[in-house]
Amino acid sequence: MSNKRPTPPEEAIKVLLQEHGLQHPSAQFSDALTRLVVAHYSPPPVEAYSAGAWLGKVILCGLGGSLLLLLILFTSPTLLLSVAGISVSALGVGFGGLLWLLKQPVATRQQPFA
Amino acid sequence: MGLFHTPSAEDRLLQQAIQGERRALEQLVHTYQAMAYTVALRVVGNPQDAEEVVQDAFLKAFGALAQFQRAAKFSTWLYRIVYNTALTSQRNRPAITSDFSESLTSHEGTNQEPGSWEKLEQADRQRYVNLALSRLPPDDALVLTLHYLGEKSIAEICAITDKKTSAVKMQLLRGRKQLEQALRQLLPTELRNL
Repeated sequence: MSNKRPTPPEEAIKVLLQEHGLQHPSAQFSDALTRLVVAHYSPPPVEAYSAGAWLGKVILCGLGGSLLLLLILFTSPTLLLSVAGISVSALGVGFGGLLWLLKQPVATRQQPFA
Repeated sequence: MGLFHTPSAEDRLLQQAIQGERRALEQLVHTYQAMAYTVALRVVGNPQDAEEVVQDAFLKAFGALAQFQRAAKFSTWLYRIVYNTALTSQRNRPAITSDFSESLTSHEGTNQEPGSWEKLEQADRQRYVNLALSRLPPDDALVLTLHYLGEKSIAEICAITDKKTSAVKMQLLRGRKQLEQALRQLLPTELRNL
């Protein structure tokens, strides 16, 4: 006669629990819960399509660039030259003005007690 | 193995529920309410409180459905909410002195329609199984319920109850032995026949 104790009947316990262990709430509660969950649920707000904003910016930049190129291409050379002349002279005046401004503090610092 | 993950039926159902489809929401509630109720009942010990816990937990869970990250199964996430709600409810309530097994049997009795002999026998077995479970420490009964009834792995039970693996393994082993002893007393024939 063997004294070895049999291993716990895990499968039998599992079957018994699965067949008889589940507790069900009352049908009235079940219906009320379903109605409550459905009534309280609100789907999350749809997020704005952010890719659209980027696409719009790219299209606007492309259009602006193309229009500028067209303007340069179809403008008469004399007009272009005058525009270029005005731009260069404006750059020169601006640059000169900046240098003058930069020199001013240095000049005052050289004679502080004058 | 495919490069892309094909969504399972549950994933699709969840997606539909998140978008607010009524049928999907109803199906989710119907699928998980009984197990959630069983989990709540194991913690709080009486049907009235268990129903209240399930209602609170479902409203919380479905209110945050869009934030569900799918790092775990939906059922694991839901049962964790139910378990935590049940613990909070138990802490906030004065100790109840009524016998859990009594409340269990009386509750079932109201639902049982007197009919065939088989139905009565089934109801009796259910009563004895729940009586055997109610004799265990509540934590052990919960772990057994989640493992055998909810078919949750030890890792999932750890995620639900926030316990260590070693503790869950110990509870499972101890609970199984105690349940076996209790069932041998209450349902000797059924345990032998299975």
